[in-house]
Amino acid sequence: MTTVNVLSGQTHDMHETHAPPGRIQPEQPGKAGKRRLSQRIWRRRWVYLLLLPGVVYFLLFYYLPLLGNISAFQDYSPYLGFLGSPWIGLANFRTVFSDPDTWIVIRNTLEISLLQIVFAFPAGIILALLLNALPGQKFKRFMQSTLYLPHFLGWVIIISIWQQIFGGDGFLSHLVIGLGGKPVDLMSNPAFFQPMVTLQVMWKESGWSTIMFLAAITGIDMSLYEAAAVDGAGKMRRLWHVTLPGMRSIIILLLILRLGNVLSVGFEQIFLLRSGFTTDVAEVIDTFVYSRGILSGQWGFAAAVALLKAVIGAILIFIANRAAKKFGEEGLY
Amino acid sequence: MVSWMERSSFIERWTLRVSMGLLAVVMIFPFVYVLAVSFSSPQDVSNSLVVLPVHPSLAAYNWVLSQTNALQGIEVSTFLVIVGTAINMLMTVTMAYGLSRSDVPGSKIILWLVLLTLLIAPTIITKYLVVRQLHLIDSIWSLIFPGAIAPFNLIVLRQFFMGIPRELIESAELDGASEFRILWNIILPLSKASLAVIALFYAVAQWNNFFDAVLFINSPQLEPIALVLRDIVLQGNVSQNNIVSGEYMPPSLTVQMAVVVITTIPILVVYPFLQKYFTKGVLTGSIKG
Amino acid sequence: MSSTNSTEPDEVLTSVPQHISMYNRRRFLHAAALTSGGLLLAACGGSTNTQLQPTTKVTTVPGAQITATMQAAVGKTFFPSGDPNVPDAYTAPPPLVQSVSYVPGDGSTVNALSVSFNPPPLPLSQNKYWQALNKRLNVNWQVQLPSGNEGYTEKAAALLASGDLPELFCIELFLSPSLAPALQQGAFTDLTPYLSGSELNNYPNLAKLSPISWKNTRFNGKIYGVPRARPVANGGLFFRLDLIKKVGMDVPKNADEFFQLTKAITQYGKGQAWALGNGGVVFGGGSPMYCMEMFGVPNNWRLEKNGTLTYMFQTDEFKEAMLYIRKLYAAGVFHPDYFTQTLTQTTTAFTTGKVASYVTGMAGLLGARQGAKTVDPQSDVGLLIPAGNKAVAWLAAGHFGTVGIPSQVGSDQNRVKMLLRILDYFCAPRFSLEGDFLATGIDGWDNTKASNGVKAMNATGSKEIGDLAYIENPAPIYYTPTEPSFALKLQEYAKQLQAIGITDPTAPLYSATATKQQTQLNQIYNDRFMRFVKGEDPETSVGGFASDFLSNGGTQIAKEYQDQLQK
Repeated sequence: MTTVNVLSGQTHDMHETHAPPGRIQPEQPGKAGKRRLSQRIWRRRWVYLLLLPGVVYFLLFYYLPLLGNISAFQDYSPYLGFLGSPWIGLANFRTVFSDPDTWIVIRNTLEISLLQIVFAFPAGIILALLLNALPGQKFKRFMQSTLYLPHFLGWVIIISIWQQIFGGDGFLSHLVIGLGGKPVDLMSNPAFFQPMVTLQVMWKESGWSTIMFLAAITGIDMSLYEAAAVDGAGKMRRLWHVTLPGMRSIIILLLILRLGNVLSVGFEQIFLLRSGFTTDVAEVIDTFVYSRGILSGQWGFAAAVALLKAVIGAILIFIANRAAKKFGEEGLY
Repeated sequence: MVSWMERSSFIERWTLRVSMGLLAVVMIFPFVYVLAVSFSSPQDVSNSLVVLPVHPSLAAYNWVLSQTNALQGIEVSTFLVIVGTAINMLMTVTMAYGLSRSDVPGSKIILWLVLLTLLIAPTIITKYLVVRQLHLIDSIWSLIFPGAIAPFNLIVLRQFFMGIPRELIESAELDGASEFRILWNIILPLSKASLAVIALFYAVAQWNNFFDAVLFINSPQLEPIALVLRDIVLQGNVSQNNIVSGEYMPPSLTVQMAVVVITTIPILVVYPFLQKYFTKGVLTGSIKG
Repeated sequence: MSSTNSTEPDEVLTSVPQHISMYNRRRFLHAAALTSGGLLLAACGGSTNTQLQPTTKVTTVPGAQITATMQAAVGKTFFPSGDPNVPDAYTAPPPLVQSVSYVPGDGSTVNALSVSFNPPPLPLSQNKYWQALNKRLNVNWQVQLPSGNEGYTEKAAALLASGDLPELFCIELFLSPSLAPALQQGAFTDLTPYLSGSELNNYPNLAKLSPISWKNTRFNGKIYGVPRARPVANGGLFFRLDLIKKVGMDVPKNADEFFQLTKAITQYGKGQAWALGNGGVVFGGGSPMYCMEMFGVPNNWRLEKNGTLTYMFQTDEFKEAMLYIRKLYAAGVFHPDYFTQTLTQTTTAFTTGKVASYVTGMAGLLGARQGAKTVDPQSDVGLLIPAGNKAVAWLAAGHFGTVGIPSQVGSDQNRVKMLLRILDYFCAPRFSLEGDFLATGIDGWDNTKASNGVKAMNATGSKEIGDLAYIENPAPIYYTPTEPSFALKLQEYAKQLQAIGITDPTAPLYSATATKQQTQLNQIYNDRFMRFVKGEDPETSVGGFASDFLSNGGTQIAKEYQDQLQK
């Protein structure tokens, strides 16, 4: 099945490559003759100029402060500073690994992350597709505007509202009692902690994440739909062969980034929910670091965990990107 | 309807409409609740759900707007949104474009450097020290420059830029266009959707940002609205220990909800204007021509 | 861990050597202030004091007349408590006295840091109160007001690291234990030479702060800051006393009766209301505190006769109390969201009648009472004193932090003295000219006089005043203009609590291990508390509280405290 690129008149076989049309193919080494490094740099000299402000920014506001993570190897005290605090080598790291709670906390974090990747991540995509398929401009616009509302509410309010619906004195409980049942409390039941956390994230963020996916769908060439329809593709096949591929780039990117950040599950939400549960249920890495590290004045401990998370995250991104490429997708780089 | 689109069945259309409608109710409902509570009289409010205020009252809004520095905060935040987002976009677009270009030696290293920043955040103390060295403490610019580029937004925008057909860029290169021309004449016009999205992300972040202000701002006149209002809501969530909770009375629930409404309204007002950039009608195409 | 303390009355007198007792001193100065202000200072000052400018004497009423008025008012509108640990009560404002007789500042800029629980004040250019404050202090007053616990902890740490410490630095170890190492490492000036003995006379208002506040804010035996005084009997169980009558019972006299009461009230609530409500299980707060008090559980630590310290978890009283709480939970008298409610939710639940009681600081009692009345005019909110013959009341430490001066400033003695004079100004008694200004602002602008002549802060005032002067507060009193007679009730409660009050012997002590382990120990306690109260752990596991504590640093902490006590 061929399509015609309206602009350039080039024909393009849809089934030829996995990659959606218009993708930038990375230059094959040795293809256009090996250029000398200095030549290549000169050719792209203006690009470096464009990159300059950003690079300076990152160096100044990210990498310079990152030097402060040297406190991971110190018994850091703000008053004594980096130069005055005693050096304790790997002691902080040893504390991290020898604390029995560490493993519980990692397990909790991974479990919640997994739930979010499996359920919350696709939710935005599915919602975007549904929105895209909605008949009627006005209704579409209206739906879009309402779906993103929860994003702005802030966790404090959201959890308070969920409490009033699902809590022990909540709407649901009274409903069940009215129907003859016993009080229901979903908000302090440990078995429901992880599902509730995931549901809350889905509810809050799905609408907001549709924005990015819709933008990706916007970028799909309409003529592709036309050509597919002409070839007899129905709605579902058009979805599979045109829409999804058009979003693929963004989806893969977000998935890789999410995997890289698998050790972070959102501090504020868990922090607010924390008090109703025991540590083995509700403590995640970020809340753990906050209470043991920052509140207790163990800055070195907090820095050590941050370093560990970064290293693991980097490895994960590397692996995820490799895997994506192995599947024929185009990765992050 | 376009010629190639078949008409969906009645059932299909209405199933979709109804389920989306239900979803909309689920999403809107909390906001209705927040609005209802904010317009209630303090004595009518308990911790249970209300949909319509029993005794409508503007007391909460009155309190927030007259007894706190809210209006000043709105001024500050408006400045941050306008100027801050402009700077955000300028820096992000240039860097995203630069990183999207092929055959730039070293760009992979820079990309990795950016990726790493997603994985590790600088500690509060060192952030403070850097900003202090730059003499930006207690200046409005301390709320703009440290957050000038959000690594996530940068990477996403780069991905969008990379989705622009190579042929267009190559033909412009052959015509001798400079990098700036390519960016300005080709990339940007074709990226309206993604630019709108990223700009929205930045603008919302500027409006909601309080964390930097806690650290860098001392003068009350520079406090952004998010911080002013967070103080009000925060009070209700402080430790329940006697010593601390005995220091004040938390404000009524109605006030807290009024705060939420005030913080959210401007975004709701602005969003519809941006919306048209990242949705498209059935008829418009994505590539000019 | 909650820090509480009180000293026996005898100790108060003996710990203030060469002085009239603090308490009598207060009354003395009342009358004397106007007439002899300047002279008083000159008599005990050193050479530096001659540089001080006396303030313009404001004679509202001649001194002798004030004394007479006050003496006549005793028992009518002025109720001295007779106990240095219990604040005086006022049902009507007395004539104002001038309490500061010299200009505190030298015209320079003074930077300060104070935790804040209110929205920020209006900026200086729009803020008449602030401008007036600057004039009165004769400084350019610049105060940083990070909000809440997190804001304060982060700001304090960042400032310490940067070395740009404000000259007046609020040190609240309870909110931010990570500041203790800084104290240990010498970040703050040792103020003992300035604030002890006869030197304290230079700051008459600071001298009026209770000795307990001074004692419990010492660090390693030295004075590192001026305490922010708070009443020692600081909190308790707010209760809907009207509901007790509604269920046909009396104020409980012991734990069993309390149990019956809670069951009756919960039954009366028919699934819509519960007897006990309190957010969170943060140690030291909540209804469990009341239950433990009924059983006589020690306040944090108990000092044994042989000089060793027993931690509260180790005592039999604690075990009894825990079984009791478990029994209460099983009977369903706790609000279902007991473990998760925030302070706002708890307060709302209380005022709307969803819960019949909750535990919090006394400062909120009047507000809770009036809040409940607007919803249900029949309601009667008061305090329940822990009942039973073993009952105790856990007394607080008498302070909410101190204000210290960084060591960089410490070398400049004159500067230190000036800063202390500013704090002295902020500690002006509530019914002095200065204190009245600090609390209610500029007459007619920040406050308005109601028809009954009572001055109250208005909208402008709350925007302008904010927490500008929150850094230091005068010795506490009870004055509740919206319900004047309630001040007496508060005083009565305080006296009753004081009568059965016990103190935490470790309140003035510092343990490095405690600082480091505090959050972890709290977390371990919370976890076990939840499991035990909910019935997930067996009753026999009640000893686990103590073993958890001891094995996670508790033994070391006890040793560190004991060593200090023996010095």
